[in-house]
Amino acid sequence: MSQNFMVPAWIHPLDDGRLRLIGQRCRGCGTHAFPRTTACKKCSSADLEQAMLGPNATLYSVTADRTSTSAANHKLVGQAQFPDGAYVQGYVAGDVNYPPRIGAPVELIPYELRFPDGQTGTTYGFRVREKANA
Amino acid sequence: MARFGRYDDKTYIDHGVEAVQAALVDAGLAWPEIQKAYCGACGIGGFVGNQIGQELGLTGVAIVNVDNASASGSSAFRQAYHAVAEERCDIAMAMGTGQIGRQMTTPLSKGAMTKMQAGAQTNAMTIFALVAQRRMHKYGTRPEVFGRIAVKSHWFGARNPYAQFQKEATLEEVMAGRMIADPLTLYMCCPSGDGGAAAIVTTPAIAKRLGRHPLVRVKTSVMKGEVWADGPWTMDLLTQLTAKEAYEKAGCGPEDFDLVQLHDATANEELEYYEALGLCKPGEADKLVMDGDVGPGGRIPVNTDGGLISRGHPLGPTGLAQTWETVLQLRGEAGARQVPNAKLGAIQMIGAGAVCFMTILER
Repeated sequence: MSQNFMVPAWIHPLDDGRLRLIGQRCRGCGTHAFPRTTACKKCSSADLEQAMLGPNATLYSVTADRTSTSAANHKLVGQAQFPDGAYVQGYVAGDVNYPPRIGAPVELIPYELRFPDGQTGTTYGFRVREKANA
Repeated sequence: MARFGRYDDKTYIDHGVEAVQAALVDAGLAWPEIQKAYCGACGIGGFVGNQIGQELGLTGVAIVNVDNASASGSSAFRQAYHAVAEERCDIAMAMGTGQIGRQMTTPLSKGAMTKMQAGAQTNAMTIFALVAQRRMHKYGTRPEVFGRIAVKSHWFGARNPYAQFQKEATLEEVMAGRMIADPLTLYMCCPSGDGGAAAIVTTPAIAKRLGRHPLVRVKTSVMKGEVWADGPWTMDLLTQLTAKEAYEKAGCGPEDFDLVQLHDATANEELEYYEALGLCKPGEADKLVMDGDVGPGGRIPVNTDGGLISRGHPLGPTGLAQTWETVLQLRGEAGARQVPNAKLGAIQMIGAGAVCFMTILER
């Protein structure tokens, strides 16, 4: 899989192939967030510091996006909650007909997108942590 | 009101003109009598209201254009209401028009699109489906509940000559529809489409002089912006806060309403707002649906024109279509979908999850 990340400023690759997301922590109220913003969404403080999210999280919700009439374009999309409280939406690896359960432990991995013009791009995605399920 | 639908032979200007002319006829007024005008449109370019005005006559009326996503028309209505309530004019026009999926002239930049794609944020229906899945996990809500809301929507739409879809659907048809984003089928999602709607706000004295219909009064119009919530879905909290302020200002509450219009881009979104508006307690919205309380003949009918799902959702005019429906119901002129003896109606509208409106109308 290529590693031409679509938004490099979001991604911190780990040596084991997993990812962390480059988010932020508010020094004022402690709220974590991703993507980064100019000021904290909760308290409006601009006193922010960079914070790494993940790689581990918990699946908060998941669905199969079947908007396209072509089954080849169907994707699992989910929202995950990180231990520090941030919620992040992203693609989920796996079969669209067998989505992982809500509450499953997940981890961040590279996820390749294929566009109608044949181009590809890599972003972050979630996959179920197999060891956690064992 | 101009019927919502898909029209290859009309422009958004045509829809706006048709709606404005219909509102003028309904009120017994002429375009030159409009002193201020506000136009809601989303993503179809600038000066939309002015383009409509150019078709109707250059009377010197000041037209303000507003884009607030789904709530663009609601924004226009609130501006018109305040213009009259604050005695800046005696007669104000709110108009809205839209042509979704076509003639969208404000595409995202490449950078913005890349971020949306990389963050899996490209599809609104998927986001609503994530809310549905979370609710199913939290409360054990069955997909049939969402299906019954869609059935209700199509029942009302079949009795609304301005609706995009005017055909009833059975629960079996709804549940067997093409899956858009699990568990939401095509019938549970609003369509793209075109259309226009308009409303005229005036003083009690002028309304009485015109005397063409039973008078409908704006009890309150409240607008709030997005607030932080501990979770990915903020629209429930935003609706709760907006409703709370509206109820306090109007001196009434959900137990007093005869009918409600709300933003149902999907069936499960409607379900969320039953609770956020206080029509029932948290976790009890499913029962409201299964008991038929929000349907025809129910305790508190919701989206009596078919809502976004059946009446349609061209963004710009949607909030004004809600207003039109509520006014018709309060006048007793809603025909086969009339709520008997309706006297008090509430309207909720969300724009891109970032802005919420609550308007309460009274006969």
